[in-house]
Amino acid sequence: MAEAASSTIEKNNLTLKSSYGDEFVLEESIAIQSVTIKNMVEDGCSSSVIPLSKVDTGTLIKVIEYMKMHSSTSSNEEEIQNFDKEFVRISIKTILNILEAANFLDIRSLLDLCAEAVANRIKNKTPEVVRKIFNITSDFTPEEEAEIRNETPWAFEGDLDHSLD
Amino acid sequence: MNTKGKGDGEIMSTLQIPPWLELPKGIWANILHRLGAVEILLTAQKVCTTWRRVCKNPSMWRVIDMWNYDGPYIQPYHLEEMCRHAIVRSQGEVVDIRLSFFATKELLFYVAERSRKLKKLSITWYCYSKLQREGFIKVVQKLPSLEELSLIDATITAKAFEALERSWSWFKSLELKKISSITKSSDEINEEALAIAQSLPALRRLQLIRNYMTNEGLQAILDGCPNLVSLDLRGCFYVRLDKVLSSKISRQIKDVKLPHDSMEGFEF
Repeated sequence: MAEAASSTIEKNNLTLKSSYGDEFVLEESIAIQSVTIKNMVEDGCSSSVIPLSKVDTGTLIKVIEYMKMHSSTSSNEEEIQNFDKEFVRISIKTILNILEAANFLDIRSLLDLCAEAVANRIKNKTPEVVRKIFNITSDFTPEEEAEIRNETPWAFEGDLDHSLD
Repeated sequence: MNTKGKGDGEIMSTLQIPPWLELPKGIWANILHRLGAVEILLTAQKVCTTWRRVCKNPSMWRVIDMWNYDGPYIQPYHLEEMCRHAIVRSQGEVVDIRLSFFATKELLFYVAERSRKLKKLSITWYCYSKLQREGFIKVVQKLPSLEELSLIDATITAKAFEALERSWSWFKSLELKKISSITKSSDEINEEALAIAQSLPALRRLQLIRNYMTNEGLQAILDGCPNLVSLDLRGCFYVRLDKVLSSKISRQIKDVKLPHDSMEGFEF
């Protein structure tokens, strides 16, 4: 088995392949921020290309951008914070794609960053506005709606935010 | 109306499920939990059946955060009812609860009766004063798993420390943050610090914001709580750190905030 030989200390590169077939070469030390990739490397799968069948090219580019910034030794805490702030200034659809990828790749800090960004977009909105933001249609039966009304008879007395951003 | 002009000819129908609703439930829980208890009940669970299921899961209520709710105005007694509702939903799984001004004595007893796994309780002076000493003691005694307490602007008297001796013995974390100034006589200034030193031997994290203690109190804490790994003394201006005390702190404790450090990050 070649497994033992794969764990060398020198700079190894890994190739990540998106669901569209695009390949990205990345230093192993950067890529293993993903626990999923780290486990693959430890299991000896690092010599070949790592196929990420659930991550499209655009999303993978963003994820790699994030991992590079967060493993860079030249940036300080403030720079990373500013990077994070800018990083999630994108459409909610893109954030959700990255969130799904971060979950699959098991990158905790990226998952939390995106989850917080999504939550911030819902804050202080009405259920109707939230549905529009996510393109969700209400699928409650009239009985379920009545049940919710009975269960939670309380209401906001101040104004909610009706904007879509 | 309900699409934002995506340009790819998407037609919305009531049967079409946006792909992200199929995200793992854990992700939705992670997102929605960040809204805090009030918005989970009043907004998130009313959006669709998927979100409602996530919001009904007891694991969603392991942390009940009603601490710095800053949304539109809600009647305090509605907040109290919501909190009871959240406790019921947690089915005894709540481990961390943060309550502010609206919490009454009755609510705290209600929580204490139903939260055998509760590890951390955070309340403000307003709740504490309504509880009074006896009520406070009763609440702490009813929570067998409690090991972290966070109080804003409350002073725990030596008597309360004494009464809770058994419960305190396994306490891991204590936060006592003062906002208002109270005049203290010179024999009272170290009362809390000395009681902490005596009653909380297992303490690992201690935050004493704007405490009146002097070097005597701090010295007692360092001796009485040998397991401290984190100590926050911001605003404790009666402590004058000399060389001996400073080196004792840096030898013993990893994470220290000193009296004159910035108050940044201190909520309230």
